[in-house]
Amino acid sequence: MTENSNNLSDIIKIIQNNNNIEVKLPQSKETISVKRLNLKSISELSPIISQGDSNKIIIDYNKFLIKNVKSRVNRDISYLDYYTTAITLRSAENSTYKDMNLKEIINNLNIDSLKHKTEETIIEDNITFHIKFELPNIDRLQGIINKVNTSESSDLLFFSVFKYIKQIEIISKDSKSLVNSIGDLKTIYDIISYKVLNKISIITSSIEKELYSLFKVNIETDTSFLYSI
Amino acid sequence: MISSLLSFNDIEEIASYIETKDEINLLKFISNKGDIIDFLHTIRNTIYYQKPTVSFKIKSENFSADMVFDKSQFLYNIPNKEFLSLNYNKLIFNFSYPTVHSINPLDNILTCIKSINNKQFNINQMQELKEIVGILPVKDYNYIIDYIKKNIISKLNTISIFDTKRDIKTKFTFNNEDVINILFFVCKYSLSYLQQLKVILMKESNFTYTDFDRITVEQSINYYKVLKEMTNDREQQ
Repeated sequence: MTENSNNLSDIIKIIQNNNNIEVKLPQSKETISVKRLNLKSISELSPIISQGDSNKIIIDYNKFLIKNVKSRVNRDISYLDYYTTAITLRSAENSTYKDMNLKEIINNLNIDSLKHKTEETIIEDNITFHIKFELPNIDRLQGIINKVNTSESSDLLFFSVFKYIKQIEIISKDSKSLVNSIGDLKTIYDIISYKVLNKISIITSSIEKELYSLFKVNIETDTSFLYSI
Repeated sequence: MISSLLSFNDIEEIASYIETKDEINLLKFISNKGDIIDFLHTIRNTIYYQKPTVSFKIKSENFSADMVFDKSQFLYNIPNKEFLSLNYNKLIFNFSYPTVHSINPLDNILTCIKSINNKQFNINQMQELKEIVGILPVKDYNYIIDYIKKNIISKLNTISIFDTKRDIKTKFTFNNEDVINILFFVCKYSLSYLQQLKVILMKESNFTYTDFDRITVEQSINYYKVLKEMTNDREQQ
C-alpha cells in the first residue's frame, strides 16, 4: 500500500519507516532490527577510497565500517556479531559479492567451527611474554582503530595484529606486569622486537584465516566489499 | 523571446559562453529551455526555421564535405514526451525526461524524478530531492536509477544527430558533452560577428536590444543585407 503525502518530512518518514532489516546475531543469539545502508552513508566512502595512500584507505575504511555498524546496533556487540551485521547490511542491498551469495554465507554460518589459539608464550632475551588472544567486541575494535592515527604501515599492523590480543603478561627476571588496556598495548607494540611481533602475528594470521574460512570474505581488508554495492 | 526558437540574443549569449568555455552558464542556458526534449526541439526548430534543408561541414576519417540535410536527416527520433509512474516501496515516483543543468551527470539523471508521492520537484528543488534520494537504501536507489536508465535515458540514446545516408551516422548519447555539442550546430557565428551585426542594426536601423529577442540570427542577417542594398542604392544615386 502506498502512503500518500506531498510533504517532504512525511516522505522522509515513509522511507525511514520502511528501511529496517533484521539481523540474526550468531553469538548473542538475538535478532535485532537495524537501519539499512543508504546512499548518503555509502557516498561517504568515495573520499576515503579515492585517497592515494593505501594504508590510510584501510584505516579510514575500517573506521567507517565500525562507525556505521555501531550507530545501527546501538550497543557493544561481539566481533562475530559485528562481522555478521556488516555482511547482512551489505547483503540487504546486494547479496552478490565476487560470485558469492552473502545470504547463503550468513544462513549457513556455523560459529562453533571457529577454533583458534587463545594463548601463547614467547620467550625472547630472557623476557617471557604470555599472550592471551580474543576476538574483540566492537567497542574495543573501535578503540584500537582510533589509536591508529597515521598512515604508516606500522600503525596498520598494530590494528591487524593487536586487535586479537586481550592481554600480555610480561615477565622478566625481577618484574611482572599485565598489560590489557589499548593504550598500554600500543606502547608494548611500539617497543617489542620484530622477532616477538613476528611470532605474535603468526597466531593472529591464523585467526584471520579461520575467520575467512567462516565468512568467505575479509570485510576489513577488502574495501570493495561495501564500495561495490 | 521566440517560442521554441533561439533568438539572436540567445545565440549571442551561447557564443559568449562558448568563447569563454563557460560550461556552467551553458548548462544554465540549456536548462532554461526546459527538459532535454524541449531543448532538442528548440535547436531543431531554430535550424530549420523557414528552411527545408540545412548544410553542415561533416568530417570523418575518410570523408570531409559540406552536406545538406533535410528534416528527416538531422536531430530525428526525438521521443515524444511521456510520464511514467512507478510504485516502489510505498512511494509513487513519477518520471519524465531530464533537464540538463549540472556538470554532474547523476544530478541530471535525477531530474527525471518529477514527483514522489504528490511532492513535485524541479531543478530549483534539487537539494530537497537529493535529501530524499540520499536516505533511500542503496538497493532502492539502484533500482530507481536502473529504471530511469532503462525506460527514459535509453530512449534518448536512440536519437540521431545526423545521418548522411552514406554510412556517416552520428548517434546522440545522453551526456553533457553531446548536449553541449548540439549547440555548435546552431551557433555557427563568432561572438564578434554577432556583436558587429547587432551594433550596425541598432545604429542604422533603430533596432532596440529587445528586438533581438524576437528575431533569429538568420533574420538579422537578412535585415543587414537589405540595409546594405539600400545604402548602396543611396550611394549610387
